[in-house]
Amino acid sequence: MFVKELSLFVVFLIGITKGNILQGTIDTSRLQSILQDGVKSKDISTLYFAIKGLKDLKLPVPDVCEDIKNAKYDSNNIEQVFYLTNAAALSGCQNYLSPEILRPPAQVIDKKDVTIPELYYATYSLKALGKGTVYNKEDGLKNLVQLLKKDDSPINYGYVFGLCEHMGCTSFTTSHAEGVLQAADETDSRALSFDGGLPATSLVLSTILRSYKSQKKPSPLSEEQRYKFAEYLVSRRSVSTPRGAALLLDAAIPLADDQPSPISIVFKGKKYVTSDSDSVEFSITDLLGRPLRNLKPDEVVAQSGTRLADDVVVLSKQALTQKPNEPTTYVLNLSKIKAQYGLYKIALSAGSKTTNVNVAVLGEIQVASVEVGVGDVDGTTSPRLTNVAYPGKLSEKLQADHMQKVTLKFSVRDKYDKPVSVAQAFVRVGTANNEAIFVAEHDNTKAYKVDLNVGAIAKHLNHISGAYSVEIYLGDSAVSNPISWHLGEIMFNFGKDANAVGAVERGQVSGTGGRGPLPEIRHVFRSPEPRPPRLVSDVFAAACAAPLLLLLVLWARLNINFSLFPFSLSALLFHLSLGGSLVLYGVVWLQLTMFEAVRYLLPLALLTFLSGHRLLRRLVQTKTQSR
Amino acid sequence: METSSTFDISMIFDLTSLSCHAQTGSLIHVIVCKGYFLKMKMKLPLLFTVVLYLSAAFADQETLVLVDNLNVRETHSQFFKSLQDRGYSLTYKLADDANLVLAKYGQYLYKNLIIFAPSVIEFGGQIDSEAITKFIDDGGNLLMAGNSVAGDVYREIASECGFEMDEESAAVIDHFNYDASDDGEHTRIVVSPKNMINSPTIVGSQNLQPLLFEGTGLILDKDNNLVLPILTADSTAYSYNPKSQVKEYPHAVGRKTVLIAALQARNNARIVFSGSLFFFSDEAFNSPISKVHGDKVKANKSGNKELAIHLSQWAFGERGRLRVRNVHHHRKGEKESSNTYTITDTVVYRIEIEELKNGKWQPFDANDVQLEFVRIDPFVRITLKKQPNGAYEAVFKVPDVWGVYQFKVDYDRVGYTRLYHSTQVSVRPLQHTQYERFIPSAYPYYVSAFSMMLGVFLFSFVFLYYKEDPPKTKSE
Repeated sequence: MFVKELSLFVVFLIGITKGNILQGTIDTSRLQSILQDGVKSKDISTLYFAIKGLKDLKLPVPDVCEDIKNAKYDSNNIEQVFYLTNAAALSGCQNYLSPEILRPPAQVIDKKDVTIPELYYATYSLKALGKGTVYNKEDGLKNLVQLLKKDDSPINYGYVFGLCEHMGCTSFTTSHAEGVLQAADETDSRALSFDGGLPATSLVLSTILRSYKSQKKPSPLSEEQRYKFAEYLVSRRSVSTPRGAALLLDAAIPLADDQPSPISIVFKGKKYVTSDSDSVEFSITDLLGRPLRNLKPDEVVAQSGTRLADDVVVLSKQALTQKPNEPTTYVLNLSKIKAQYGLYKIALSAGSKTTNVNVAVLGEIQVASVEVGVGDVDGTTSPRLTNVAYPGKLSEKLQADHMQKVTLKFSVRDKYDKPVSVAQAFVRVGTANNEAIFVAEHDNTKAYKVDLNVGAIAKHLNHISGAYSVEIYLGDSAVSNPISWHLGEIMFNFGKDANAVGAVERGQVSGTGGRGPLPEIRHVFRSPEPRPPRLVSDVFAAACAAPLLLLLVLWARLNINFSLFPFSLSALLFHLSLGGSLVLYGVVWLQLTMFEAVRYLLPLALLTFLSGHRLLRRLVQTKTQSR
Repeated sequence: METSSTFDISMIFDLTSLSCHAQTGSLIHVIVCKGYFLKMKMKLPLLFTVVLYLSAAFADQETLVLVDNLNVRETHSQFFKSLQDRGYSLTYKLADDANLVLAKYGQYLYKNLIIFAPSVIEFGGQIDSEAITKFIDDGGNLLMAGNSVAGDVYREIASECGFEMDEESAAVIDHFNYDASDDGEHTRIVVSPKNMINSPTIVGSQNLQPLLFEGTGLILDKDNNLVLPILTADSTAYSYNPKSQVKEYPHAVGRKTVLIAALQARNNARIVFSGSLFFFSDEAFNSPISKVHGDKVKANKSGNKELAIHLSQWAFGERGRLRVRNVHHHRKGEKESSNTYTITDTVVYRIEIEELKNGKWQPFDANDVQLEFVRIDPFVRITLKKQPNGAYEAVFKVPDVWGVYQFKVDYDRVGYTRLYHSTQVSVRPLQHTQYERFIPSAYPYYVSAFSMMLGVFLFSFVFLYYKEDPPKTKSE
């Protein structure tokens, strides 16, 4: 038994080392729809590639002669001329072209510093128009080899191989092909492509394969190269332009036609088995999704199957059955292992090639009930237990405060009521915006348990007390029915820590990263000091005016006179300027600034001083004279 | 093509005309003003090379793409094509190319950097996580996508940007929301567009198709408010090694698992970090979606392409860029701007803001632009009223506390570049001629002052010219 396993293992290893079977195919129907859309295009290069792609697929090309006739092109651009003439040739519309079109290719061929792509385009333009023999074979090839010395990129070799097909120098191709193929770049040691991407890879591959085919020689590609180029082409299957589609088909069709064709094994439909459907289907085809000619149905065998979790071999040498009426579909029956769910690795061989595929055996899980207990953290009192049956909810809202803990206990069972463990057994506690997730751990009997220490989980929930919904998530990559069970709500009271200052706010702004409009601020102006009523100030104003009135009254009673008044200029000036200064004080109060006031006051003061001095002297003189 | 450099320059000119009157005339003063008010990243010597900056403006579309292998160019061709269609010139380089350089002679050769090279162990040439951090500090934009095999270089760069990437080989798993094309490990998950950040500037309109994601999860520090979770997973998701049983608490669980994160640095450099390179691939762009469990969401095409394009537009500064075109403030009823106001003046402040839309600066439309009038602390903060043509206006009364104030507009919103503009003005107390004149309560003082003056005037006559009647002699 052990020996048999070992030998299987060896077979299995060889399978891996012999290069990977393709895990995908090129969907020709998708490319076809891209090409058919492309035919409607007015752009000449798109049109050319669309027609070429359709021809590659051997599909009818709609009548595009009017489009070709009206197509706009730049006659100095030989590439566009090439697209136009070849589109016309492929669709049989050469008669719609004007004879003018012959001129640019002829000019290009005569040009001195011509490049290889230009030569390729020019020659094929002429060929499309039926003027194929212009280029002499012997000289032409020498010339091309000279040009190749200047720039020996793979794509240039591709062009030369293409020209050789036309000129009949395919022996050059066969002698140089292997060297060029060696120059392919390898990515991730899985795929081979030429520098320049899909256009270069497509051109080189298609010209080499066609040349070898025309010489009836076996193709120069080793099996490994074959698979690696195919891998590259499959990785490029998501092309979206007619150009990409045509280039892809150009390379893929000869590669697939060239025997032995690379084998592709793809899941058809589901990649898993369940207890209800215990078989998986594979489609085993060539690169383009076509049936393989050389593959006998009894060569498709599942060499071995191992469970990934513990490397137990579960099946060996099980033949796949071909589905009636579908030559590409093979069915693998896995009813033996459908009861033990998990991921399995199956080594599948088709002919001499082996590949590994992962198949999941999905099981259903069920959970009967959960036991929710609320008890003290220190365990002094026995917890209060509530049982909830799936998929029910808690009948009452449970309460728990920061001194308590909530315990959830449940066990997950498979369809046959055997306890199992799952990858994801999580308990989510949260509200719409806020959540904390806890991992349930299982013991030896596979019974899951979560302890929610209310005081400790507060920090995960921003210390906001309130009602939180509790959900249980049970999932696994080998489970066909993940369970999400909304258990109901539990009131958590986080005690004195609850709603710590700032905590709520932080929770709210987290979505905007603390950015957003801030609350408006209005400045509060100082309120004016309170003032007495008008009456009081009027009374006091009158009181302040009273002394002057009293003075006037008393003077009147004294029989006041001004008989000493000298009617002189100085007296008048003195009183006018003195009065003026006093009036100026009034004006200052009303509107002037200090500096303006000083400007007026200075001349007034001078006048007052001079005239006052003069007046007083005069008064004194008259007094002394009168004595 | 408008660029960030022209933005900077226009800012300088705005500021010089407004806040630096007193100092105009000399370039050095202008720069001092600018440095003081803008507090931006530019250094003095750099400013002298304004011309150089203008020429650098054309390099805005220069983008370096670092890839694991040149095949990425083809598997992600739709994403790259969308960039090229928008005018970016992409330079593809292998991430371990020995001749990699970001800058030459102190000038950056690229404005944007795309790193789609999760399997890189160490970058080639002069690029390492330090050089990339410096590139970001100098204002470069970064778009980076990893996957579950991404190595330590990725983790280093991520943590420099404020994200944390889960351990190697960990992937986001969601047993409830995986796509039918999943390989059995439930790592190709379907994410509802509802889990996107609510910011149309970054992610575009919200009515996208569901998104496909396959890769590793990110964890954000919630105290870092420059970091934005662009796309988060559902509550049922977690990030763990899909090949092993969950034994420890996963690093990212539930909605804390961030799938795509972004950061807008203080210098307005933008970083988008996706845990999934697959997210940007042609395969994800074209793939139909059909969720296996739950609500069985189905769509003919994923929303990945739209979101990826929106994210790249935001990351490379095609959206959400704001600049100040003009600022004007004056006393109400006057036309001329002033740099001195008196307390309790009514001031009109007007700012014109422009947003870059489709490559053109157009009036910005928002209703939450706020103005602060600040003397150490803001004394007034009001929301500006929108006027036509992207102008925003506020009319307010200057506080009755005098001092040196600043008009400050600090518009910092998710998805937009930070718009900061301040203008310094002084607020002085009333001149003595500006006080109230005829206060009824002060009439006693007025009356006493004027009665005194009148008294003095009259007394001068009495004192000088009063002639006493000669005393009557006894004989009379």
